[in-house]
Amino acid sequence: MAEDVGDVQREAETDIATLLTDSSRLAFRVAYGVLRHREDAEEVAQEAFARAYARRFTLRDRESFRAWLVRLTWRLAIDRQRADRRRLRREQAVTAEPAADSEDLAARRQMEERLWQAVDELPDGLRAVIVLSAMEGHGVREVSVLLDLPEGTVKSRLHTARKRLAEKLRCLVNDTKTD
Amino acid sequence: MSCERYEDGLIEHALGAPPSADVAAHLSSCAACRARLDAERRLAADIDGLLTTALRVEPRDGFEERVRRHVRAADRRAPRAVRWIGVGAGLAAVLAIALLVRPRSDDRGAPVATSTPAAVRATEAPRALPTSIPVAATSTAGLRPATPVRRAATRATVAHDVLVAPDELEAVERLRQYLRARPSTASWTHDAEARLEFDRAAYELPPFTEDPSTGLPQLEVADVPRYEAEPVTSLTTGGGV
Repeated sequence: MAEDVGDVQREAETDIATLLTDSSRLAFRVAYGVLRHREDAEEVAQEAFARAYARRFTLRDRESFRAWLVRLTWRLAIDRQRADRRRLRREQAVTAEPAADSEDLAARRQMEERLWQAVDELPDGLRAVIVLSAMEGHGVREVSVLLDLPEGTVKSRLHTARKRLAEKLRCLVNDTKTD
Repeated sequence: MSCERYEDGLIEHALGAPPSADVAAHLSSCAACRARLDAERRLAADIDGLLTTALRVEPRDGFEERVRRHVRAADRRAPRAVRWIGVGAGLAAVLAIALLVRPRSDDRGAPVATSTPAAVRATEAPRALPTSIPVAATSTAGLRPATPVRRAATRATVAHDVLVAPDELEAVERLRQYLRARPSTASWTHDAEARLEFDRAAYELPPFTEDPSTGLPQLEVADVPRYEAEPVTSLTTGGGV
Protein backbone atom coordinates (compact mmCIF):
# COMPACT_ATOMS: atom_id res chain seq x y z
CA MET A 1 0.00 0.00 0.00
CA ALA A 2 2.90 2.34 0.82
CA GLU A 3 4.29 1.65 -2.63
CA ASP A 4 0.93 2.50 -4.16
CA VAL A 5 0.87 5.81 -2.37
CA GLY A 6 4.45 6.53 -3.47
CA ASP A 7 3.51 5.78 -7.07
CA VAL A 8 0.52 8.03 -6.82
CA GLN A 9 2.62 10.86 -5.41
CA ARG A 10 5.28 10.48 -8.09
CA GLU A 11 2.58 10.42 -10.74
CA ALA A 12 1.04 13.57 -9.30
CA GLU A 13 4.43 15.32 -9.35
CA THR A 14 4.97 14.38 -12.98
CA ASP A 15 1.49 15.58 -13.68
CA ILE A 16 2.15 18.99 -12.13
CA ALA A 17 5.48 19.35 -13.90
CA THR A 18 3.98 18.64 -17.31
CA LEU A 19 1.04 20.95 -16.84
CA LEU A 20 3.25 23.67 -15.40
CA THR A 21 5.58 23.64 -18.36
CA ASP A 22 2.74 23.49 -20.80
CA SER A 23 0.31 26.02 -19.41
CA SER A 24 1.50 28.16 -16.51
CA ARG A 25 3.08 30.86 -18.70
CA LEU A 26 -0.03 31.02 -20.82
CA ALA A 27 -2.03 31.68 -17.66
CA PHE A 28 0.47 34.32 -16.61
CA ARG A 29 0.24 36.13 -19.96
CA VAL A 30 -3.54 36.04 -19.93
CA ALA A 31 -3.53 37.59 -16.47
CA TYR A 32 -0.90 40.09 -17.54
CA GLY A 33 -3.00 41.04 -20.57
CA VAL A 34 -5.66 42.20 -18.16
CA LEU A 35 -3.61 43.55 -15.27
CA ARG A 36 -0.32 44.66 -16.87
CA HIS A 37 1.33 44.13 -13.57
CA ARG A 38 3.78 41.28 -13.30
CA GLU A 39 3.40 40.37 -9.64
CA ASP A 40 -0.38 40.65 -9.73
CA ALA A 41 -0.48 38.56 -12.89
CA GLU A 42 1.69 35.89 -11.28
CA GLU A 43 -0.57 35.71 -8.25
CA VAL A 44 -3.70 35.39 -10.36
CA ALA A 45 -2.06 32.82 -12.63
CA GLN A 46 -0.94 30.63 -9.77
CA GLU A 47 -4.34 30.73 -8.15
CA ALA A 48 -6.02 29.87 -11.45
CA PHE A 49 -3.53 27.08 -12.05
CA ALA A 50 -4.12 25.58 -8.61
CA ARG A 51 -7.86 25.59 -9.19
CA ALA A 52 -7.54 24.15 -12.67
CA TYR A 53 -5.12 21.51 -11.40
CA ALA A 54 -7.59 20.41 -8.75
CA ARG A 55 -10.08 19.79 -11.54
CA ARG A 56 -7.69 18.19 -13.98
CA PHE A 57 -9.42 14.79 -13.95
CA THR A 58 -12.68 16.28 -15.08
CA LEU A 59 -11.02 17.89 -18.10
CA ARG A 60 -10.68 15.41 -20.88
CA ASP A 61 -7.40 16.45 -22.52
CA ARG A 62 -4.63 19.02 -22.76
CA GLU A 63 -6.68 21.44 -24.85
CA SER A 64 -9.59 21.30 -22.44
CA PHE A 65 -7.25 21.96 -19.54
CA ARG A 66 -5.65 24.94 -21.27
CA ALA A 67 -8.99 26.34 -22.38
CA TRP A 68 -10.43 26.02 -18.92
CA LEU A 69 -7.31 27.53 -17.40
CA VAL A 70 -7.43 30.50 -19.78
CA ARG A 71 -11.07 31.24 -19.09
CA LEU A 72 -10.60 30.86 -15.34
CA THR A 73 -7.52 33.07 -15.38
CA TRP A 74 -9.31 35.68 -17.43
CA ARG A 75 -12.22 35.75 -15.02
CA LEU A 76 -10.00 35.95 -11.94
CA ALA A 77 -7.91 38.70 -13.51
CA ILE A 78 -10.96 40.74 -14.47
CA ASP A 79 -12.34 40.33 -10.96
CA ARG A 80 -9.06 41.44 -9.50
CA GLN A 81 -8.82 44.41 -11.80
CA ARG A 82 -12.31 45.53 -10.89
CA ALA A 83 -11.72 45.01 -7.18
CA ASP A 84 -8.36 46.71 -7.16
CA ARG A 85 -8.63 50.00 -8.94
CA ARG A 86 -5.89 51.40 -6.78
CA ARG A 87 -3.07 49.53 -8.35
CA LEU A 88 0.05 51.52 -7.71
CA ARG A 89 1.75 51.13 -10.97
CA ARG A 90 1.52 49.59 -14.34
CA GLU A 91 4.43 48.07 -15.99
CA GLN A 92 5.33 49.47 -19.30
CA ALA A 93 6.14 46.91 -21.86
CA VAL A 94 9.85 46.50 -22.27
CA THR A 95 10.47 46.66 -25.97
CA ALA A 96 13.40 45.31 -27.82
CA GLU A 97 13.34 48.23 -30.23
CA PRO A 98 16.55 50.01 -31.13
CA ALA A 99 17.30 52.96 -28.91
CA ALA A 100 14.91 55.77 -29.70
CA ASP A 101 15.34 59.36 -28.84
CA SER A 102 13.40 60.57 -25.84
CA GLU A 103 10.66 62.21 -27.91
CA ASP A 104 9.93 59.04 -29.81
CA LEU A 105 9.98 57.08 -26.59
CA ALA A 106 7.54 59.45 -24.92
CA ALA A 107 5.20 59.30 -27.91
CA ARG A 108 5.37 55.52 -27.94
CA ARG A 109 4.64 55.31 -24.24
CA GLN A 110 1.70 57.64 -24.62
CA MET A 111 0.40 55.54 -27.47
CA GLU A 112 0.81 52.40 -25.43
CA GLU A 113 -0.96 53.89 -22.46
CA ARG A 114 -3.87 55.02 -24.60
CA LEU A 115 -3.98 51.66 -26.30
CA TRP A 116 -4.35 49.75 -23.05
CA GLN A 117 -6.89 52.25 -21.84
CA ALA A 118 -8.86 51.60 -25.03
CA VAL A 119 -8.45 47.84 -24.57
CA ASP A 120 -9.79 48.12 -21.01
CA GLU A 121 -12.83 49.97 -22.29
CA LEU A 122 -13.75 47.21 -24.72
CA PRO A 123 -16.59 44.89 -23.76
CA ASP A 124 -15.30 41.70 -22.17
CA GLY A 125 -15.98 39.50 -25.19
CA LEU A 126 -14.02 41.74 -27.56
CA ARG A 127 -11.25 42.30 -25.06
CA ALA A 128 -10.58 38.60 -24.49
CA VAL A 129 -10.39 37.95 -28.21
CA ILE A 130 -7.98 40.79 -28.99
CA VAL A 131 -5.70 40.00 -26.05
CA LEU A 132 -5.53 36.27 -26.75
CA SER A 133 -4.95 36.90 -30.45
CA ALA A 134 -1.98 39.10 -29.65
CA MET A 135 -0.52 36.43 -27.40
CA GLU A 136 1.88 33.64 -28.35
CA GLY A 137 0.93 33.88 -32.01
CA HIS A 138 -2.55 32.49 -31.44
CA GLY A 139 -4.56 32.26 -34.61
CA VAL A 140 -8.34 32.34 -34.91
CA ARG A 141 -8.59 28.59 -34.40
CA GLU A 142 -6.57 28.59 -31.18
CA VAL A 143 -8.57 31.49 -29.78
CA SER A 144 -11.83 29.79 -30.69
CA VAL A 145 -10.72 26.66 -28.82
CA LEU A 146 -9.48 28.58 -25.79
CA LEU A 147 -12.66 30.61 -25.49
CA ASP A 148 -14.98 27.88 -26.71
CA LEU A 149 -16.40 30.10 -29.43
CA PRO A 150 -17.07 29.43 -33.11
CA GLU A 151 -14.28 30.61 -35.37
CA GLY A 152 -16.67 32.95 -37.18
CA THR A 153 -17.50 34.67 -33.90
CA VAL A 154 -13.82 35.05 -33.09
CA LYS A 155 -13.13 36.59 -36.50
CA SER A 156 -15.99 38.99 -36.21
CA ARG A 157 -15.10 40.02 -32.65
CA LEU A 158 -11.48 40.45 -33.59
CA HIS A 159 -12.41 42.70 -36.46
CA THR A 160 -14.76 44.78 -34.31
CA ALA A 161 -12.18 45.08 -31.54
CA ARG A 162 -9.43 46.25 -33.90
CA LYS A 163 -11.78 48.72 -35.48
CA ARG A 164 -12.73 50.20 -32.12
CA LEU A 165 -9.12 50.43 -31.01
CA ALA A 166 -8.20 52.14 -34.26
CA GLU A 167 -11.01 54.66 -33.76
CA LYS A 168 -9.74 55.50 -30.30
CA LEU A 169 -6.11 55.83 -31.33
CA ARG A 170 -6.52 57.54 -34.67
CA CYS A 171 -6.77 60.96 -33.07
CA LEU A 172 -3.61 60.37 -31.11
CA VAL A 173 -1.68 59.42 -34.24
CA ASN A 174 -3.02 62.42 -36.11
CA ASP A 175 -2.21 64.76 -33.18
CA THR A 176 1.31 63.44 -32.98
CA LYS A 177 1.85 64.02 -36.68
CA THR A 178 0.55 67.59 -36.60
CA ASP A 179 2.70 68.54 -33.56
CA MET B 1 -16.14 65.39 -50.38
CA SER B 2 -16.76 62.37 -52.53
CA CYS B 3 -14.04 60.50 -50.62
CA GLU B 4 -16.10 60.49 -47.40
CA ARG B 5 -18.53 57.92 -48.72
CA TYR B 6 -15.67 55.44 -49.09
CA GLU B 7 -14.30 55.94 -45.59
CA ASP B 8 -15.98 52.96 -43.91
CA GLY B 9 -15.02 50.63 -46.73
CA LEU B 10 -11.48 51.95 -46.66
CA ILE B 11 -11.11 51.30 -42.93
CA GLU B 12 -12.55 47.81 -43.30
CA HIS B 13 -10.05 47.18 -46.05
CA ALA B 14 -7.18 48.46 -43.91
CA LEU B 15 -8.21 45.96 -41.22
CA GLY B 16 -7.99 43.10 -43.67
CA ALA B 17 -11.37 42.87 -45.37
CA PRO B 18 -11.29 42.69 -49.16
CA PRO B 19 -12.35 45.99 -50.77
CA SER B 20 -15.73 46.29 -52.43
CA ALA B 21 -15.71 47.00 -56.14
CA ASP B 22 -16.49 50.70 -55.72
CA VAL B 23 -13.84 51.16 -52.99
CA ALA B 24 -11.27 49.42 -55.19
CA ALA B 25 -12.22 51.64 -58.14
CA HIS B 26 -12.01 54.76 -56.00
CA LEU B 27 -8.63 53.83 -54.57
CA SER B 28 -7.20 53.33 -58.03
CA SER B 29 -8.05 56.90 -58.88
CA CYS B 30 -7.56 58.74 -55.55
CA ALA B 31 -4.04 59.30 -54.19
CA ALA B 32 -5.33 60.86 -50.95
CA CYS B 33 -7.39 57.79 -50.12
CA ARG B 34 -4.47 55.51 -50.95
CA ALA B 35 -2.38 57.52 -48.47
CA ARG B 36 -5.18 57.25 -45.95
CA LEU B 37 -5.35 53.50 -46.50
CA ASP B 38 -1.61 53.25 -45.83
CA ALA B 39 -1.98 55.29 -42.65
CA GLU B 40 -4.84 53.09 -41.44
CA ARG B 41 -2.81 49.99 -42.16
CA ARG B 42 0.14 51.39 -40.22
CA LEU B 43 -2.16 52.19 -37.31
CA ALA B 44 -3.58 48.66 -37.31
CA ALA B 45 -0.07 47.23 -37.48
CA ASP B 46 1.07 49.50 -34.62
CA ILE B 47 -1.82 48.32 -32.47
CA ASP B 48 -1.09 44.68 -33.18
CA GLY B 49 2.62 45.24 -32.63
CA LEU B 50 2.18 47.03 -29.34
CA LEU B 51 -0.17 44.40 -28.00
CA THR B 52 2.02 41.55 -29.14
CA THR B 53 5.16 43.12 -27.69
CA ALA B 54 3.52 43.92 -24.38
CA LEU B 55 2.21 40.39 -24.04
CA ARG B 56 5.55 38.80 -24.77
CA VAL B 57 6.38 39.46 -21.15
CA GLU B 58 7.81 36.68 -19.01
CA PRO B 59 7.10 36.05 -15.36
CA ARG B 60 9.87 36.57 -12.83
CA ASP B 61 12.41 33.86 -12.21
CA GLY B 62 11.12 30.99 -10.12
CA PHE B 63 7.53 31.44 -11.26
CA GLU B 64 6.90 27.78 -11.94
CA GLU B 65 8.33 26.79 -8.59
CA ARG B 66 6.06 29.32 -6.88
CA VAL B 67 3.05 27.91 -8.72
CA ARG B 68 4.09 24.41 -7.72
CA ARG B 69 4.30 25.46 -4.07
CA HIS B 70 0.93 27.17 -4.32
CA VAL B 71 -0.65 24.03 -5.75
CA ARG B 72 0.82 21.95 -2.92
CA ALA B 73 -0.32 24.47 -0.34
CA ALA B 74 -3.80 24.40 -1.80
CA ASP B 75 -3.72 20.62 -1.55
CA ARG B 76 -2.65 20.84 2.09
CA ARG B 77 -5.43 23.30 2.88
CA ALA B 78 -7.90 20.68 1.70
CA PRO B 79 -6.19 17.32 2.24
CA ARG B 80 -7.68 14.55 0.24
CA ALA B 81 -8.44 12.38 3.23
CA VAL B 82 -10.45 15.17 4.80
CA ARG B 83 -12.04 16.19 1.55
CA TRP B 84 -13.18 12.69 0.79
CA ILE B 85 -13.87 11.51 4.25
CA GLY B 86 -17.34 13.03 4.33
CA VAL B 87 -18.16 11.70 0.92
CA GLY B 88 -16.77 8.29 1.68
CA ALA B 89 -18.31 8.00 5.07
CA GLY B 90 -21.67 9.20 3.84
CA LEU B 91 -21.48 6.79 0.96
CA ALA B 92 -20.62 3.90 3.23
CA ALA B 93 -23.39 4.71 5.67
CA VAL B 94 -26.01 5.19 2.98
CA LEU B 95 -24.88 2.04 1.24
CA ALA B 96 -24.98 0.01 4.40
CA ILE B 97 -28.31 1.22 5.63
CA ALA B 98 -29.96 1.13 2.28
CA LEU B 99 -28.78 -2.42 1.70
CA LEU B 100 -29.74 -3.56 5.14
CA VAL B 101 -33.21 -2.13 5.14
CA ARG B 102 -33.80 -2.15 1.43
CA PRO B 103 -37.38 -3.07 0.73
CA ARG B 104 -37.99 -6.23 -1.21
CA SER B 105 -39.33 -5.96 -4.70
CA ASP B 106 -42.89 -6.65 -3.59
CA ASP B 107 -43.05 -3.82 -1.05
CA ARG B 108 -40.91 -1.24 -2.91
CA GLY B 109 -42.88 1.97 -2.97
CA ALA B 110 -45.74 0.67 -0.88
CA PRO B 111 -46.82 2.62 2.18
CA VAL B 112 -45.13 1.47 5.34
CA ALA B 113 -47.48 -0.29 7.68
CA THR B 114 -47.55 0.78 11.28
CA SER B 115 -48.37 -2.55 12.85
CA THR B 116 -46.03 -5.09 11.29
CA PRO B 117 -43.53 -3.20 9.23
CA ALA B 118 -41.95 -5.40 6.60
CA ALA B 119 -39.21 -2.96 5.83
CA VAL B 120 -38.02 0.47 6.74
CA ARG B 121 -37.77 2.67 3.71
CA ALA B 122 -35.05 5.22 3.83
CA THR B 123 -35.54 8.84 2.87
CA GLU B 124 -33.73 10.93 5.47
CA ALA B 125 -30.07 11.71 4.94
CA PRO B 126 -27.73 10.22 7.50
CA ARG B 127 -26.66 12.63 10.21
CA ALA B 128 -23.45 10.96 11.33
CA LEU B 129 -21.39 7.88 10.81
CA PRO B 130 -21.29 4.78 12.98
CA THR B 131 -18.31 2.52 13.52
CA SER B 132 -20.67 -0.27 12.82
CA ILE B 133 -24.26 -0.36 11.84
CA PRO B 134 -26.17 -1.00 15.01
CA VAL B 135 -29.39 -0.93 13.04
CA ALA B 136 -28.43 -4.22 11.50
CA ALA B 137 -27.64 -5.88 14.77
CA THR B 138 -30.63 -4.75 16.73
CA SER B 139 -33.53 -3.91 14.57
CA THR B 140 -33.58 -6.02 11.46
CA ALA B 141 -34.41 -9.19 13.31
CA GLY B 142 -37.40 -7.48 14.80
CA LEU B 143 -38.45 -5.87 11.60
CA ARG B 144 -38.17 -8.99 9.52
CA PRO B 145 -38.66 -11.91 11.82
CA ALA B 146 -39.49 -14.28 8.99
CA THR B 147 -36.50 -13.55 6.77
CA PRO B 148 -33.92 -11.55 8.66
CA VAL B 149 -31.85 -9.32 6.42
CA ARG B 150 -28.70 -10.46 8.18
CA ARG B 151 -29.10 -13.87 6.71
CA ALA B 152 -28.93 -12.46 3.20
CA ALA B 153 -26.11 -10.06 3.93
CA THR B 154 -22.44 -10.63 4.37
CA ARG B 155 -19.70 -8.56 5.92
CA ALA B 156 -17.83 -6.65 3.27
CA THR B 157 -14.18 -5.73 3.40
CA VAL B 158 -14.53 -2.47 1.51
CA ALA B 159 -15.41 -0.25 4.44
CA HIS B 160 -16.15 -0.26 8.07
CA ASP B 161 -18.69 -2.86 9.00
CA VAL B 162 -20.73 -2.24 5.95
CA LEU B 163 -23.06 -5.10 5.27
CA VAL B 164 -23.39 -5.84 1.63
CA ALA B 165 -25.75 -8.25 0.01
CA PRO B 166 -23.95 -11.04 -1.87
CA ASP B 167 -25.16 -9.85 -5.22
CA GLU B 168 -23.78 -6.35 -4.50
CA LEU B 169 -20.28 -7.42 -3.55
CA GLU B 170 -18.88 -7.43 -7.03
CA ALA B 171 -20.12 -3.91 -7.74
CA VAL B 172 -18.74 -2.60 -4.46
CA GLU B 173 -15.39 -4.22 -5.13
CA ARG B 174 -15.31 -2.63 -8.58
CA LEU B 175 -16.05 0.75 -7.02
CA ARG B 176 -13.25 0.24 -4.52
CA GLN B 177 -10.74 -0.68 -7.21
CA TYR B 178 -11.86 2.26 -9.32
CA LEU B 179 -11.33 4.69 -6.46
CA ARG B 180 -7.95 3.21 -5.62
CA ALA B 181 -6.78 3.49 -9.20
CA ARG B 182 -7.29 7.24 -9.29
CA PRO B 183 -4.67 9.48 -7.72
CA SER B 184 -7.30 11.89 -6.50
CA THR B 185 -9.05 9.25 -4.43
CA ALA B 186 -6.31 6.74 -3.73
CA SER B 187 -5.27 8.39 -0.51
CA TRP B 188 -8.85 8.57 0.54
CA THR B 189 -9.33 4.86 0.10
CA HIS B 190 -6.19 4.21 2.11
CA ASP B 191 -6.87 6.78 4.76
CA ALA B 192 -10.55 6.19 5.01
CA GLU B 193 -10.06 2.56 5.88
CA ALA B 194 -7.93 3.58 8.81
CA ARG B 195 -9.53 6.75 10.00
CA LEU B 196 -13.27 6.73 9.61
CA GLU B 197 -14.89 7.08 12.96
CA PHE B 198 -18.58 7.11 13.40
CA ASP B 199 -20.92 8.39 15.98
CA ARG B 200 -22.85 5.36 17.04
CA ALA B 201 -25.40 7.27 19.07
CA ALA B 202 -26.66 9.14 16.08
CA TYR B 203 -27.60 5.90 14.42
CA GLU B 204 -29.25 4.18 17.30
CA LEU B 205 -32.87 3.51 16.56
CA PRO B 206 -35.42 4.63 19.08
CA PRO B 207 -36.10 2.03 21.76
CA PHE B 208 -38.82 -0.44 21.06
CA THR B 209 -40.85 -2.75 23.19
CA GLU B 210 -41.77 -6.35 22.88
CA ASP B 211 -45.13 -7.44 21.54
CA PRO B 212 -46.55 -9.67 24.33
CA SER B 213 -48.51 -11.82 21.91
CA THR B 214 -45.64 -12.66 19.56
CA GLY B 215 -42.65 -11.93 21.71
CA LEU B 216 -41.19 -9.86 18.88
CA PRO B 217 -40.00 -6.30 19.26
CA GLN B 218 -42.42 -3.57 18.28
CA LEU B 219 -41.15 -0.59 16.44
CA GLU B 220 -42.76 2.80 16.18
CA VAL B 221 -42.26 3.26 12.49
CA ALA B 222 -43.02 6.97 12.60
CA ASP B 223 -39.90 7.52 14.70
CA VAL B 224 -37.57 5.56 12.51
CA PRO B 225 -35.09 7.67 10.58
CA ARG B 226 -35.79 7.39 6.88
CA TYR B 227 -32.93 6.98 4.49
CA GLU B 228 -32.65 7.57 0.83
CA ALA B 229 -32.01 4.36 -1.07
CA GLU B 230 -31.47 5.69 -4.60
CA PRO B 231 -27.69 6.27 -4.40
CA VAL B 232 -27.24 2.56 -3.90
CA THR B 233 -28.98 1.86 -7.16
CA SER B 234 -26.53 4.08 -9.01
CA LEU B 235 -23.56 2.45 -7.29
CA THR B 236 -24.59 -1.07 -8.04
CA THR B 237 -25.01 -0.23 -11.69
CA GLY B 238 -21.53 1.21 -11.80
CA GLY B 239 -22.42 4.88 -12.24
CA GLY B 240 -22.64 7.92 -10.06
CA VAL B 241 -18.99 8.35 -9.03
